[in-house]
Amino acid sequence: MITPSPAPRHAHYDIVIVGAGIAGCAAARALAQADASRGRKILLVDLHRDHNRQFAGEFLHPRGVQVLESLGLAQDIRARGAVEMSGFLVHEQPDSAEVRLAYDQLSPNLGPGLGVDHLALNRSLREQLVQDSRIELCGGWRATGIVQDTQGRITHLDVRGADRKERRRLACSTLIAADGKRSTVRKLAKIQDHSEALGFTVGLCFRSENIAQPDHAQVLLGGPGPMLLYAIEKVGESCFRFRLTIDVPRGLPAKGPELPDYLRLHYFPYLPDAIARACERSLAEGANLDLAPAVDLPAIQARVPGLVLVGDAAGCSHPITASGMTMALLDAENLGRVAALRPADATPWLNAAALRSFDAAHDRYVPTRQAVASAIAEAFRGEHEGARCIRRALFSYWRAHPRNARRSLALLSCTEARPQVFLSEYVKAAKHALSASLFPQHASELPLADRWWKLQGTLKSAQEKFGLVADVGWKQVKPTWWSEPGRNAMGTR
Amino acid sequence: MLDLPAPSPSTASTDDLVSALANTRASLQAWSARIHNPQSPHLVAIPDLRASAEVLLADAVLGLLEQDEREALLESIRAEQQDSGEWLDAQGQADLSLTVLCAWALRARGSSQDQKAIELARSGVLDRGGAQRGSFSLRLWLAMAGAIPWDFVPAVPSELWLLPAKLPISAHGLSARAQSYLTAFHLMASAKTRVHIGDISDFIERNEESKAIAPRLTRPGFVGDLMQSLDRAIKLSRKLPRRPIRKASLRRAQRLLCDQQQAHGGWFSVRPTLWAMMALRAHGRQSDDPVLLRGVAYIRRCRGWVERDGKKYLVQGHSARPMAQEIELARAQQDKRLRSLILDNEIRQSGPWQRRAECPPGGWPTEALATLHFDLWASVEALEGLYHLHRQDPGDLKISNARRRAAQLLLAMQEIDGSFALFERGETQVAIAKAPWLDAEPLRSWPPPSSFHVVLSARALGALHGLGWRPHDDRIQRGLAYISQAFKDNENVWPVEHLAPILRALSPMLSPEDPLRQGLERRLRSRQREDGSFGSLHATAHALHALISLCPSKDLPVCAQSQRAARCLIQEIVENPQALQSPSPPVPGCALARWAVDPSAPAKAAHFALLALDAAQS
Repeated sequence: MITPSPAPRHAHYDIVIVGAGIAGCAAARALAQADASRGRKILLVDLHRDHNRQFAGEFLHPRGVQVLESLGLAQDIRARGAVEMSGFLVHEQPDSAEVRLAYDQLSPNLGPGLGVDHLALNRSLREQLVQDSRIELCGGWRATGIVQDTQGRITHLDVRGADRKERRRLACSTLIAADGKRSTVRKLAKIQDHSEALGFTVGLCFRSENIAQPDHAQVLLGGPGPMLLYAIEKVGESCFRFRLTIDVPRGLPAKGPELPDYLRLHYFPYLPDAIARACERSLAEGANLDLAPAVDLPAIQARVPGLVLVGDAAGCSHPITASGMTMALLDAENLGRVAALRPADATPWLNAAALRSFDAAHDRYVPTRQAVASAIAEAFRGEHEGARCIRRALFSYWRAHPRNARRSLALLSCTEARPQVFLSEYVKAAKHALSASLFPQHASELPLADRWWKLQGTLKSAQEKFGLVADVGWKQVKPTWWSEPGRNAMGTR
Repeated sequence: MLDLPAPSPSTASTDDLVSALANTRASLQAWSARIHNPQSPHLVAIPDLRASAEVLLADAVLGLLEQDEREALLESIRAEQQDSGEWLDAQGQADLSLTVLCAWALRARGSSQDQKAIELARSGVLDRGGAQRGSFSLRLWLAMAGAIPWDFVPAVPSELWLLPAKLPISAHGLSARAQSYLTAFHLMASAKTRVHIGDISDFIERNEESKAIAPRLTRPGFVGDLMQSLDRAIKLSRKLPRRPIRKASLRRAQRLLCDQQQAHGGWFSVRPTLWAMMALRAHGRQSDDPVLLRGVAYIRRCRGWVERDGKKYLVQGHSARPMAQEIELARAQQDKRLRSLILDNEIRQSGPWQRRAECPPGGWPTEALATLHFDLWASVEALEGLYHLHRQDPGDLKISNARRRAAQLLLAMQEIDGSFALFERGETQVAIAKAPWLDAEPLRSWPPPSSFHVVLSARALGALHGLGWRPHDDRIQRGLAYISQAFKDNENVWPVEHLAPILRALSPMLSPEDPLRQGLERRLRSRQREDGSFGSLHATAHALHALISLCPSKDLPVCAQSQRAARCLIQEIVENPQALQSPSPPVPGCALARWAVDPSAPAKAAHFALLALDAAQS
């Protein structure tokens, strides 16, 4: 078995990537592929010597799978039991008919998504990169500081070994931060973010043969928080290992040994029977619960020379849309694209123009996806009247015509980023939300005061979202050369 | 705020706690045996004698009673008469209407030995302005008996039954409970029904020309005068040739009434059932009609025995066996039947309650088979029962599914102001009941403002919290805002029996620094007396349970005030187990029985409090 390098071999690198998760590994591979001269030095450093065992993303939309395939990383992941996913089933209530959002409706050539155990994915990526002679992977190194020149450009990265004894200062032309939503590099570069803790995502793993349509991720609503179920490993002819992710509130009402009972009492009633039985069995057998914070981190507009933020470090949203890893892969693809356009002997490899080009492309798909993901998460959480009306509206919109479900899925799965599609989706959802507020689903004589109350909630939500939609629209149409007036290099005004 | 742990010597001894728990358990078993006795079941919720008197009067028309039952009901009426000649309602207040009805029942169905009692009652009634000053339902009986003209009861326009259901003034738009009353009344008043049930005309106050003095139908004031004029105008309009409208309206009303008969044979509860049967009888249904026979059987099932001063009396209850009380009793006893009792009675069909509730079917009715009407109180009790069952067996999907359905319903029963409706959305906002009309009582569930309504809302919020709803959810916030406002307005008048359950329901979702929690806690703690009690045994039990729920951690001892209350409660139960039979304050009864007493309430409250204490101490 090939193991990562114990320490960086060089003092200068063209690219140093911090974080060897999916974003960092994919970025490293994309840059290595883009290096026509095969003479660039790419270093990937990660805090963890072996693998990061923290519970994180496990679902890839087809667009992400396409990127993995183009990077030559997909085959090994598939060989490790990853499950091909055909789309989503969204349940408004456990006993109501689900809405199917299928990838094959988007395009017959799109291919499936993938559900894969995060540890297996991480292990596969690292092992494949270790074998890649163009990339140097060093585990067990923590980023501790950055050095900027008088222009503010990042020139060096300070790292410290896991044993706390060895320290290195690495010169780099470009530093790529791929170290997740709590990015250390972002903090070192003093880039402000406006992250908001949304709560926690609890993950429960179980095996089952009895869950219908295991090739679909299932969004389960109706309870105190949304839940997402997907297969992460095929372990037999018809047996799969599933992951159930549960959105629990910020205050985390139960901790430690009380958490399983809390989930049983408050969330499992909202699972369809087969899933509830499997989860209960898994808990009874002593399955561990994984916990990860859910954070809303709006796309960061920092323009620090020599620094690129990719993946969750550049912005993330509620995990219910399962699009975080796909976005990281799109970032990698985008980075590879701008690097490939540079002359083979250009120094620095990724100059300011190349990074601007990366940022412009990044700004076209990230804010759209984030806006859609945040709006959907808010609607699925349903914590206010407007959100609940929008949730009902989404279902009525999706049920109204298969085309509607297709367009929403295209936005969610990052295969569509055109501003006009996003705007038209917003308008149509708002129209359905207004109708959902005025016309009840069950009550034949809902009082006018209730309808007015719902309408007010919907209008308030629509009004709040309007600013966001306008912002997303502008980011999508603004020219590449445009820089926001009053914004300095650190992303602050 | 005094919330210090008590020194150990003041802690109630474990032996005393064990023997107190044994006493409460024995008392609950005794109540359970009485309630489930097939030969002579005891009543779970005891109303005043209004329904008993009305059943005795209606017996002449509907044949509701056997001879021995008639005698037993009369005996209970005789036993309840006060020295002043009056009868008291469930709250212990002298009630003119009840007095007339009871005296009339004695005269109509009793014997000559009752003459003295009737005379005594009569003089009291005449002193208070005569029987015509009684309630709307009494005047209806008087009008049917010919003792007063039909003009003395309000007029209801026939057109109300012909208007589309979506119009706010349509009879179809009223709550299901009010609808059954009003429809029956409309049918009886339209037919000018006459029944021959004994002369009561000497209870009517008359003027110098021996004419009955007409009662005022509205409160004094400009709007009241206008409404009085409107009433007169409606009555005058009946003289116009509008036979087709009237006929169509009566046809529609009869159909509506028949549709409202429930699977158990009755209508909303006993009194609406009586009225509906009288109305149908007045419109030509024979006494052997299956609809009426089922109604008679229901009324019979709702009768039960009560114990007063060591003697047993037969009383007409207002429902067969209220789910709320029965579930609470089964829960207290950890009865194995609790699961089936709850799950078998869940509402699984759409019903009239759903007209204004935006949710699929779920929840529990007031009593078994009453599936047309949702009852929030019963549902909250059922949810509490299911919560404990679910903890014992988390894999029971039937339980978790029932909890899920009920959660939807609870959310849908929340009013815009944050409170929760008991039977039907909008029941507290009856527009016509806000007008200065004296006879609006049948349209309301209870007279506002009612602290019981706040208790109910707090318990509904507590149940939602137990189902996982987050405190920052706007619906929970709205509910808390409603309770907060109600507390600000009425904190001085809430009894301990209401204050404590509110605090107990809300404490898990409010932080110790929350002003509402602090206010409720301060108010409750200030009610403790020198001896550690909070008044009655029932109040002390509720207060103790609430104070234990405030304990910040299971590892910490309960506070000094809880220790004192526990000592007092345990001592009282150990030394005098009969204290568990002491009367508890009445709670609002469903339908027109405004208040009812649950005789097992002190035993249940004490048992739950002691169990909580036991858990806290262990």
